[in-house]
Amino acid sequence: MWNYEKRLEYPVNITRPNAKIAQIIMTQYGGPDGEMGASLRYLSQRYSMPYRKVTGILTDIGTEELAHLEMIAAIVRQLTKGLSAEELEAAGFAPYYVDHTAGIWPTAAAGIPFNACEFQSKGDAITDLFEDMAAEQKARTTYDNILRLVKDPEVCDPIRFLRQREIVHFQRFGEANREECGKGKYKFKRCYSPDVFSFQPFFCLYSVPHATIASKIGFRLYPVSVKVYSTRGGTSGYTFRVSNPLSSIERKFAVKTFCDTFPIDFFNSPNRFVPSSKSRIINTFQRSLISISVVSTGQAGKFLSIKILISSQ
Amino acid sequence: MMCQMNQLSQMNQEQLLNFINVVSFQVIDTQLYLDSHTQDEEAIGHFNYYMDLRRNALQLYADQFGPLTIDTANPTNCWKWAEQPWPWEGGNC
Repeated sequence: MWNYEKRLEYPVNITRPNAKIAQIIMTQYGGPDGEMGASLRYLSQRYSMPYRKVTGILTDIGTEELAHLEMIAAIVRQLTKGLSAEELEAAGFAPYYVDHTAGIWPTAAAGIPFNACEFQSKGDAITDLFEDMAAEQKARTTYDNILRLVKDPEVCDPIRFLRQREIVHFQRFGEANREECGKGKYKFKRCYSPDVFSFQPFFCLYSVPHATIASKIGFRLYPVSVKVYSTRGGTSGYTFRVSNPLSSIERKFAVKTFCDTFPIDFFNSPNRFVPSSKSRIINTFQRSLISISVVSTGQAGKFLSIKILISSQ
Repeated sequence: MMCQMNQLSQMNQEQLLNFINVVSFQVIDTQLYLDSHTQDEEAIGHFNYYMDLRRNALQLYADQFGPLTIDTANPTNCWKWAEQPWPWEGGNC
């Protein structure tokens, strides 16, 4: 159930009509990244969202987007109000005028009408939230482009407000994704394990969100044959190296030196009265069988295995 | 009016929600009628009567079972708005 509040979320007071600007702004009404698509996207996605908090975020942001839709319509209305057909034609507004006069109709700036294909409702929490985050950034880019094209401060002021709201929404969706869909003990077990054999030492944020969701809602949203989903995409490249011995330490050992010197020198040398040195202590590194094996995969998906065996001594 | 308020406070959640649905529909229907019949005093009286009932019932519902509108949310130390069941989950219906 919805109620209407008879006010704009942020005031729009434009005193200088300009149909050229109106045509540009109109794209945020019914364009590919416009407020109509945004609102319908969030309000449609919330029914299959397994987390109540995220449903709340989708409901409230979807509702706020309806208020933004009204602001955009108010801007377009004030920019075209009172212009004659000749003035509209001079501003390039004739193709819109002939079909809609000065009415508000959802269309992109280039004339493509609003289409539900511009948004998705996939029934998968991760997919939908990433779509929402991308959508907010696309809307933000569109507002950036509008601000590059439009110089009228009366128009730029509410547009800047709308642009800022897209950033706030992106933030909220990011938190929903991270804190609701990305939490669970399975994640921590995978990600913060000190195990040297873990192949995901730094990537932890969204490593296994589907397992977490499945444990909460009681059924799996992913196919039977797929055990773990990673939202990173593509093949992960990694190099895994094992060497034997793992490390070398310096150690002392004795080397026999008896008989290495010629006996006659001993009898003639001035050192003949000191005790004979039958061995000498030397410092050296342990040298044993060395083996190194390297397994490497890359984006090409081909396995490369190198095994090096070095025996010495 | 006082009689109505006493009756409201004795209702359970389902009864109170049903009461809100009934008076809210009266408000919506009268609102539409008044949009095209702006001078009808009887309709204005009807609207005011049900609007008062709706306002009180919404406040009572928010105090006892959690908010239905953001105007009656009135949080103290816990934000219940997004935590309670949604209408399509069979929560408030």
